[in-house]
Amino acid sequence: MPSTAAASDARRATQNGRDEVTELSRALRSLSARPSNDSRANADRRALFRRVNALVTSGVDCASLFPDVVVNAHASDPGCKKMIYGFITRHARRNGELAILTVNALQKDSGDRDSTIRGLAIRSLASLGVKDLLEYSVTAVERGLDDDEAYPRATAAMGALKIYDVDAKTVRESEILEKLRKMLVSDTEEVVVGNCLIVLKEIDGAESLATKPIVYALINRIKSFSEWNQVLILDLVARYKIENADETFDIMNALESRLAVPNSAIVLGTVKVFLTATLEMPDIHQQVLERIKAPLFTLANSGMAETSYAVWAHLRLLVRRAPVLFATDYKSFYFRMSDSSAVKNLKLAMLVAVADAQNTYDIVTEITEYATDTDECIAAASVRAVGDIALKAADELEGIVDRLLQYFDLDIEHVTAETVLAVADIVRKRPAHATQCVEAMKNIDLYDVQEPSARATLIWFYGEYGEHIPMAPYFVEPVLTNMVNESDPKVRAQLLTCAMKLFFKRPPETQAMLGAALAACVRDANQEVRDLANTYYRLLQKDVCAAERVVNSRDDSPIYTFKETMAEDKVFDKVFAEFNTLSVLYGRPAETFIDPEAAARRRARTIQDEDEIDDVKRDEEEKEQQDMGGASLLDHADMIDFGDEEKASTPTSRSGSAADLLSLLEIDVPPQASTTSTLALDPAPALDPASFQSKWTSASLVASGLQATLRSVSVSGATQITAHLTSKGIATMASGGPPDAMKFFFYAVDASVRDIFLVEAMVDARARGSTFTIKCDGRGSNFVAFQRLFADALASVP
Amino acid sequence: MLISQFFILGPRGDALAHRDFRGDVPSTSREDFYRSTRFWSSNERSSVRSNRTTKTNASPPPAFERDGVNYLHVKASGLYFVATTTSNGSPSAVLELLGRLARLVKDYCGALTEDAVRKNSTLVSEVIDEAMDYGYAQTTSTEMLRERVCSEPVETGDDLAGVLVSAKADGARAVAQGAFKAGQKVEAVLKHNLGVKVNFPTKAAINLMNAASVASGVNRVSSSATQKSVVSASSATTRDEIFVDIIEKLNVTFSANGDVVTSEINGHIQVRNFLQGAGTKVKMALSEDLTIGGKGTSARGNYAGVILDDCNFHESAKLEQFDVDRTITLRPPQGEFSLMNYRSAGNFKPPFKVIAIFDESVPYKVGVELKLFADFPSKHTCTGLIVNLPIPKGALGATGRLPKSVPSGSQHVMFDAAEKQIVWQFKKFAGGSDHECSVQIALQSERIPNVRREIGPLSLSFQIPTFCASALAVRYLQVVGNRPLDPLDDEAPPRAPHRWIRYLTKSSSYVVRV
Repeated sequence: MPSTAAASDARRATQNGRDEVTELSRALRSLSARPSNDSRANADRRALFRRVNALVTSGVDCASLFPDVVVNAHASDPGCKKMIYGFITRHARRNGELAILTVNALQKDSGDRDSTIRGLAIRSLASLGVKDLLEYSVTAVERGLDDDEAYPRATAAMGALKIYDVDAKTVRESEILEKLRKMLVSDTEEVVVGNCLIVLKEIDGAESLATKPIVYALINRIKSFSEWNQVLILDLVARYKIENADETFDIMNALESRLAVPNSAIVLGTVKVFLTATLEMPDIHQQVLERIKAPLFTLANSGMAETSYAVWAHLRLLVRRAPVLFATDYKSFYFRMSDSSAVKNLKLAMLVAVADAQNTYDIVTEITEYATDTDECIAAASVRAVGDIALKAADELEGIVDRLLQYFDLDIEHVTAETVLAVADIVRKRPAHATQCVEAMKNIDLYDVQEPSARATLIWFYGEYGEHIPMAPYFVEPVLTNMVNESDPKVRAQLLTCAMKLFFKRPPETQAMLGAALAACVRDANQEVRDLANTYYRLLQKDVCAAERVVNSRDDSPIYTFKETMAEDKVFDKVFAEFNTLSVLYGRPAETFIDPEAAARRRARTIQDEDEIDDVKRDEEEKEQQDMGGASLLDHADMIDFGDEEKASTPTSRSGSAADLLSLLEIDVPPQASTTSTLALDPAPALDPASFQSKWTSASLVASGLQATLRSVSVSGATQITAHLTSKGIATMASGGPPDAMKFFFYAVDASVRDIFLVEAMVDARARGSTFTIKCDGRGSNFVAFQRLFADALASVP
Repeated sequence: MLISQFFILGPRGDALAHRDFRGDVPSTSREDFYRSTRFWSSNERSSVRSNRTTKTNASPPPAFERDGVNYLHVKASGLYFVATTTSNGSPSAVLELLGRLARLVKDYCGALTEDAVRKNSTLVSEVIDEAMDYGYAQTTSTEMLRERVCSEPVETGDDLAGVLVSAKADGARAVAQGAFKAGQKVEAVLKHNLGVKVNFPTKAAINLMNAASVASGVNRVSSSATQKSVVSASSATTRDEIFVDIIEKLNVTFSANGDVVTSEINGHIQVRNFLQGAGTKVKMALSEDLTIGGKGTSARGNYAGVILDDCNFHESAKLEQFDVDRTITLRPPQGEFSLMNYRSAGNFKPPFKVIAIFDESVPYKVGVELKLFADFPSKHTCTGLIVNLPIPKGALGATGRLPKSVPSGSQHVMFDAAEKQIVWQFKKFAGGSDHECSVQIALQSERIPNVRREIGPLSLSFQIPTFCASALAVRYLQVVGNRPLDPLDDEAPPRAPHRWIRYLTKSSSYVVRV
């Protein structure tokens, strides 16, 4: 995307930005001496800050203006104040010493007559984030909590959390938390209570707040809270352990009105409360589901597309949970022109879920219309949906299978491809339909289908039902002879298997084909395809009859549930427990995308604000510790050897047996290609620290906890090691530390395939030990070889 | 619903505003988001069989995850309002909040465009700072924020409403300082602008005239009248007025034999409130024969008045009297909000009917005769009706012909080769009238076996002003309560708020299968 023109534009913009920063710096300094209430000076300041703001927004680093801004901190105009304080709080962390200059002005303002100014000062003081200035922040917050007006009180409450995140101990030792706990139930202003709730929820955890007095106090006045605080309260109520049925009804009555609001977050929050409260009461639970249907449908069809998508995703979850309840609402899931693709996908899933004996005909008729959708993914998904309905329907199956097979008549490529996949599932699950399906498919040529998984499936059909598809060998043959053009290994493997199957079914037609397939596959670039080819060779060599039994065994016992479906069911239960969270939108539980430690770690990093390479180091230190913790029982040095051995030795033994068989089939044996090609490193690799860092985090191939022993006893410093490694083509990104705990970041580039290897190594010269982690950015064909090379290089440091 | 970062991106991915609340998400998130959005493809979705290489016009869902960062976004007027988070909160809450922020920005800047946000970056960042603190929503109500926000909106070059806003703001300051007479100042500013923009195209000139007429108190409502900043609404020169729009979106699908497959109205009552004074109350009475929550016509006989399946109301609505006489009292918040959302299925007559007759008798050709009938009272007129008829992908082309009697300029039919569809457009379509058009599709082969399955479905898009498909009506709209005394506003005019009630029915998804 970034073209060179754009890049040069960006450079020019940055240069202009720098010039402007210099100019602004001069202008701001010239205003610093002007008195605080000089209205003209304040107007000038406002204008200057408007420009600073524009620069910051466009990505220019304005941190250097900090001293110039600080000297203007005395301005009395509220507009000026906001801009100045805003700037200071955003940059204070890096300018701790200078920030103290503003404390005076901020403190003065925290006693201002105007509550807006007081609030602003408290907010700014609490946001400074400088450890040395925390005492001022704490004082301001403590004072702010006693303010007569709501705005400063609410700001102060939030300030407590900001301070807590910088230094938890200070807040725990003060009386702030105790005060917040009191205010949570007693403060008269909802904005203040709302912020107390936010802060205590983060510090104490939501569970400890979900007590009867707090929950009741909040529910009783829930309508007076802002919408966002209502969402927080509902979340808290959902965590509250209800004692008995009466209490359940009381809470539900109190919250019933929250179902008729236009804010989807409140409605979904309420729904969660209702559903969790009635989990133990199946009858009431059903009634709840009935009750929440109408408001959810209203929300799904009103408001913004984005919020309605979230509601559809939740409806999808509920439909899945209680499909019977939604069976009569199936028309609500029909497509609309205005639906986004994401919503259409959800609707298809719901249509499949609610399909029952009564509505299946209507639903399938409707879905059939979607096959011509302009979005090919939706068209394909609609075909899949019909297939899924056919799979799940108990009776009247023929009708649906017929409809499915009619898709072949449409002659639209992606529809045909998806139909092949759907039909394969039906044949697998219900072998009784095989005849009908094979009959319909016997004229589908491989030219009709391009999508790899559909091609593979179609080839499977040709092999599996080769006796019923007269053209099968002739469909396969032209593709087989051009196997190199087939990019997906799955398809190549399937071609080979198909040739095997056909060989036993129709030997005269296919003997030559099988020979060609085997010859091509032992040379295949893909390990699995090669393995498969070698297996078949050996089978054929050993016992042809046994080979037939293995290859052409068909298990006609029906499949009741596909493995995928069972896995989905497990996920679904977890997701339901996380109702009204992102999990529902993603369709997977939080553990798959939320890493609580990572967030905490990153936060800690920002506060200390170190330079980039240090960040990498520390992140890695932490990561390494984790890695080490998990893998400490394994001997990693052994693992390298094992990997090598496997790669190096197996092919030779394999090619031996393969060669014998090939001669049987009168085919030339290809020289066995070496799987581990020789690794040559670029003698002068180039990588800048920023890309090192990004590649380090993005690299998918990781080998950690590797070890090597230094042979030399005379290693005394980092330079000795780096010099040696440079001679081997391994460049150094960073190095340092005392001889008994040296730390390095190396990198190297594979000269042929241009893979980049990244290394983090800890070397203890005295104990002659080293531990290192290697990552690879690229396809990693020489990853193992590099690990060995690096270990050797390190061990051989003179 | 803890938000780590918030940013507004322009259509080309430039950041227009940016806040980092928690510092737990890398600062490259903006680029990451934009790249993901631009190059979204469905193979990134995590479904079982998703490694498709097929073409898709999918845009990313409102929430997605990349490298441990969760991105939630709302697209409003081409701008992206984005929040990132590393925690697993309520996505609806974040999306609702983003939508609210978009509306706040619009309320404050007067318009939601890249230019308006850029020029008002100080105002926007002030609004954000007050609306959110440390990743949590604080105050998002327009009038409560007004006490805290002190920047003024800046004019936007291409938006004349913006000019007006600044003129008013200037005027307001003038009144406050007692130095000028507001009217003169406003006139002077406008005259200045008129002088500068004399070479503008006519449309702009008309807009400017409208703007001028609003400013000078001429009783006339222009399309841009509601495009003003609420900040200016506090000034003495702004009109004391309220707009109530009953907007109904129709979702109708007809099957090939003319039956209605699904039909639903999604309506909302949209209020744009520029009434002055915090003590103002509004009483709105809806149709008396309104039933809510009925289970459809079958249970109720032939006529049961206006039937809604479900509805919800804005927080400010007081519904004590609603069950008795269908009146809602409220203290309306400033700016734009949706007072009531409702849904009604199957209780209305679809306003358009289409008949398509196929003729496959001639080889290499398919003829389609389209007849279109407007089934709504003749006192309403539909504007901007567009009928789209997709033709088979394998067809060579198509032509459409209108009857000779059609006056030129009133309708137009053309073949859109890029999208492979016939587009039939109308300037106006009166209720009760009917029109026809004949389409000839040229085929590559003599016949296509399933040609009818590949033609269509027809889709209609239209707007019918003054018409309300569900027959829901506002019986009256009363503004009660006194305007509180404004110390600066000695010459406050007597209270005579302008109340605009408008009806609009438009298509959301109007599909006719053939």
